[in-house]
Amino acid sequence: MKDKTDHEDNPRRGFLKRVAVATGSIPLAHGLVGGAAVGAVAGPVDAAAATRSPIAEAAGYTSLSPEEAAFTEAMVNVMCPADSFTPSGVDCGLAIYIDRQLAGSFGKGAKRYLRGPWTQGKPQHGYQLPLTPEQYFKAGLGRVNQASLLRNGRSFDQLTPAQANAFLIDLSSGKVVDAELDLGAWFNQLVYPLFEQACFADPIYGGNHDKVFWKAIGYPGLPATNTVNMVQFRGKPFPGARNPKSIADFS
Amino acid sequence: MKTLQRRTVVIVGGGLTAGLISRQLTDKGIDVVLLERGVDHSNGAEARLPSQRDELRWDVYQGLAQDWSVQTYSLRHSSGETALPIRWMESFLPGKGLGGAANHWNGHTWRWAEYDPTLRSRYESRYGKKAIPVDMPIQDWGVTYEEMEPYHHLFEKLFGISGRAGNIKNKLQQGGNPYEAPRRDEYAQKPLEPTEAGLVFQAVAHRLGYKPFPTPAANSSGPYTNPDGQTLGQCQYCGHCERFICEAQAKATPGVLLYPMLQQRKGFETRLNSHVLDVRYDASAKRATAVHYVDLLTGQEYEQPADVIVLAAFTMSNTKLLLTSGIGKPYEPLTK
Repeated sequence: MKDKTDHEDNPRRGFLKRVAVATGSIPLAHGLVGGAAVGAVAGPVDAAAATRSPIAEAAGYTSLSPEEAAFTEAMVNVMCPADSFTPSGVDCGLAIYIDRQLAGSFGKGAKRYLRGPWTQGKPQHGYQLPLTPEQYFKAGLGRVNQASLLRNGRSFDQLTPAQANAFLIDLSSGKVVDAELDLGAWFNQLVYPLFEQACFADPIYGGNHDKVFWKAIGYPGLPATNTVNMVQFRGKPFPGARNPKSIADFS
Repeated sequence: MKTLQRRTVVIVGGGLTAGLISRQLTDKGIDVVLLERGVDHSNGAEARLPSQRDELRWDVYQGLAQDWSVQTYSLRHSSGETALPIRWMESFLPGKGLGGAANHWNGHTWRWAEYDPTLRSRYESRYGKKAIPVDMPIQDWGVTYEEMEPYHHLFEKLFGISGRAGNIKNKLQQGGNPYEAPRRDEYAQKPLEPTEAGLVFQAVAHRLGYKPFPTPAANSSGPYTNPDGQTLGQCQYCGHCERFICEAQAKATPGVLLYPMLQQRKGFETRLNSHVLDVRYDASAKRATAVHYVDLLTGQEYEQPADVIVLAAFTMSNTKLLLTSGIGKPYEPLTK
């Protein structure tokens, strides 16, 4: 992995860098540079994208706009910071996972009842908006960014990690309000489940890169036979968990 | 619309109920045609490694469940509320395809308690006639546990249930459920191996004076051959039971134990991709005469006349079919 700290030709990154200097803290998106060591899928990287995660860069976004991608990357990096357990959320493939789900059948509302009547009931009636999950994700993201601008004077991806963390906690507890959308429900019922799936779904979907979350929790993945293991390793660490197997390993 | 040749019995839905009914009827040489709107899953990705282990596809996205974009339920919490459509289900998951929801069931297999079918009389005899409020529709079932016991027994043997008896002919058994209704003999198979969590729970429960017991399960603790000669594999403890099809054929389901056998029997026919729209009903004769269905592969609609029509498409779908067919009186919650 070559050094990617030089990104003067990327205006947004440059701006973020200046913000970081001005506030004495490092903006979230800057953290994307980190965790390069896991970027096994990195392909050719052009100069304009020099600071992008090798994972996001090699894959590219199919649903998210640049602004939406910046939001999503910033969010997954706050929710999954690079530390001793995992690389950053982006480097774990979490933003790519979310993008792929939004672009695919989930995002288009597969198997969901998406016809009227459109009446907003009680929370116990569940989701009742006339939006596909992809549309809902983007509508909520726009409102959340507006709320961030109002509250912090900056869009979400330009907050410091501490600011962004506090903002997400407020968002998840319903303290970030919008005139039309219930942003707490948006985060807790759409975004958080996507994040969780991005971490723990099979890596074939783009998240859980290198099975990093499976290794972190000791999940062995797909061995077909555990009858003997079940008895032999009861109450003991299972050696197979050190090297989990995914769908791709059996395909 | 094509009208087909009359059949003896037509069953709507191809799940567990339909499989068991077909087993009894075809055994007596009765002609049965079964209409199932889904496909046969047994050779699909859902029943094969490695895709069978895909939690996102089968669990989170409910790959085996009814398609809510085609048919869903509406929900209200009181009669004063306007019911709204449920757009994505989580509370229970009717299945789609041959085998129905039993393809993705978890396998817990409890018998009814001895008092369940006679709960009203039991409460009345204990607490008096006035103990049950007038608007509480609790009823005796018209059948007793004793009468049902042979069928519990048959089902447990057919499905190779793994467990430990707690009450054989009213004699309590060490290590079993002391509250279970009397059974004639031990479970079909020994219990599954407990997990570490199960052992911890067991130890604590014993210490507190309780009587923990293994959950009776249709997840086969060993290789098993049932009275019909159908076989189950041994559970591999992978944890992919509920919302999944067991690729080891170690979970007792109609797709493993009933349909492969039925399809060999003369007089049994399965029509997949056949979505029943309504039942043709002769109101003056008060008789259901045929079912109207659409072949989802071609769009062709058919009318299938039959002497007997069985609705075995799950309670909610059955009720919807009755309503759309004008059979019976719709439930009105404001009447007693």
